[in-house]
Amino acid sequence: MIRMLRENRTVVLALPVLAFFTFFFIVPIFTLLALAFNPKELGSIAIKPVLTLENFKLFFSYPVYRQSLINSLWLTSAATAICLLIGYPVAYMIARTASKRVQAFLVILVFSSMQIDLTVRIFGYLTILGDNGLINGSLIRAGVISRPLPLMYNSFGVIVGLVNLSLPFLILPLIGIIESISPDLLNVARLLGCNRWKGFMKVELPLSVPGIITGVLFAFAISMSSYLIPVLLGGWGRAVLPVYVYQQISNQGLWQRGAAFAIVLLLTNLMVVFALIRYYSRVYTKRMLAV
Amino acid sequence: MNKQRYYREGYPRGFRLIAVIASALLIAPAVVVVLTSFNSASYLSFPLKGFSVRWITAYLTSALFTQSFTLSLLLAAAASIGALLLGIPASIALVRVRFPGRDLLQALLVAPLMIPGAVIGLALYAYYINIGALTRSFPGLLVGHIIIAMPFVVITVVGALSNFNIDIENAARILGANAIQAFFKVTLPNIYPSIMVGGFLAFIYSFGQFSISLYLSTPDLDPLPVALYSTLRFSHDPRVAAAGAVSIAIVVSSMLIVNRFTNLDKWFAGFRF
Repeated sequence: MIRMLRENRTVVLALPVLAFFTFFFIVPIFTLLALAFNPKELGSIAIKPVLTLENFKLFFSYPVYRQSLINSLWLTSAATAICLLIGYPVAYMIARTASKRVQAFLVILVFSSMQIDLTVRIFGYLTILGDNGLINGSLIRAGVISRPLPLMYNSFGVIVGLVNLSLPFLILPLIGIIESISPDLLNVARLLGCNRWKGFMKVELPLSVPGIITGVLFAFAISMSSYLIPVLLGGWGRAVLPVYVYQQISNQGLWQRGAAFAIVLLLTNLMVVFALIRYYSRVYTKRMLAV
Repeated sequence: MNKQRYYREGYPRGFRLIAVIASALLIAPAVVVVLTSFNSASYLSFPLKGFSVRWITAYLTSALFTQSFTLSLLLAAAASIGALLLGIPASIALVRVRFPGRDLLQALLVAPLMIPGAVIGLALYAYYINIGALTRSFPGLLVGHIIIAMPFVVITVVGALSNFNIDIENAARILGANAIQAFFKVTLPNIYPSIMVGGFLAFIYSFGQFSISLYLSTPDLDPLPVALYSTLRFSHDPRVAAAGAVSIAIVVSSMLIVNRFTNLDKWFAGFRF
């Protein structure tokens, strides 16, 4: 019955956005890909019909660039893991709290911190983590330490920044999933003798895996692409891949190299995303079969 | 017996403490920025020297506000409207029709959230140069912002439409409304709050967007995030804190309003990859 009224003509509604994304998203990404395979030429961005792998070879032959990819990967992984550990309980509380007020407070907090200008948030962290910032300043005045703790311009500063950036994107997809798990399931587990923590680990956590995957996917991709946080909170010692993409272009005028570096970044990101989605569909199918 | 009885026992041990830590991590930078913006000293200092609105006034009268803020506002308004106009029809097709490549299209529309802004900005810049149009122009910048705003509209509207009972629209059809009437008179009023939320998130995301603007902004005028970055990179200008305090006020108050007429916690609920 319903199918009768679902007219297939409706599909034309997707055409404008498809055209827009083709012209301004897919084709540009392929332009970038083509540029990455062009030989480097100072200040030129025009696509030439010459194919070369030299930009990619350069990337993988210089330790400093390879290191930037490794930096990107480990800083992002660490930040994502911390996000999951501290984000899950927040999502859980939003989903399960009986108090409308607590829920509204947490939801607005998460949404607001996602939407507040990143530059502004970084300014806040510079003030908190700096050598004479809030933490070091107070500790020195209190006589606890004599020299400032290195909280910034190192991996710690970057990870704190990345966690702040990607935490909301991990929490939001989780809320709906946790809400959709019936409380009765936990009650059954409790009646059968599980304690509160075991009931959570055996019942609710496994059922929320799809939300975890979506959240981790967002958090990882967003941390991986951040340029501002590593630059302002990490300094040059922690240079990550997006920094070198911009540096190749703005400081050296080598667009082809910048494009190649950007493609490496894009491919790394996509590989992780696909690995997660594959894992997700496996888990999901298993779950469907089990029911 | 209340079926929620076991939840009355609270959350698994440690959850509450971790949630407090996470909230502190999220809220700390915003609180510090607001405090700094009302600090009377011309440098960053804690404890604060005294209360003053001089930095707020300095910001509101500077080019940062009169030009960059205005530009960002216009850009975000245009980008969110553009994303809604393109994204709502697409979401209808995504939810209502099973067509080949449907999942792929949905992934495509959410992809800008997961692809580095720098990559999108750089790709568009290279593309504009090669087609010889739109480079460093407002329309070119706008196109980039519509792309990155799209995921918010699609996630929200697809979610709302999936949760909307299509039988209500079918009833209108049986009673004689044509497809367009049924949509505008029945479905649209029902999913309207979600559309507002989607548009809102798109607006604020575009407003704070940095990476795309870095590559696409016009030579004589930077959107606010880029202008703030240029200011922040070379000095600790308290006007940045003032600019931050103003945008925090905008974001938090708009979130309070949005949360009044819709369930923000259900934002992602109807959306599945």
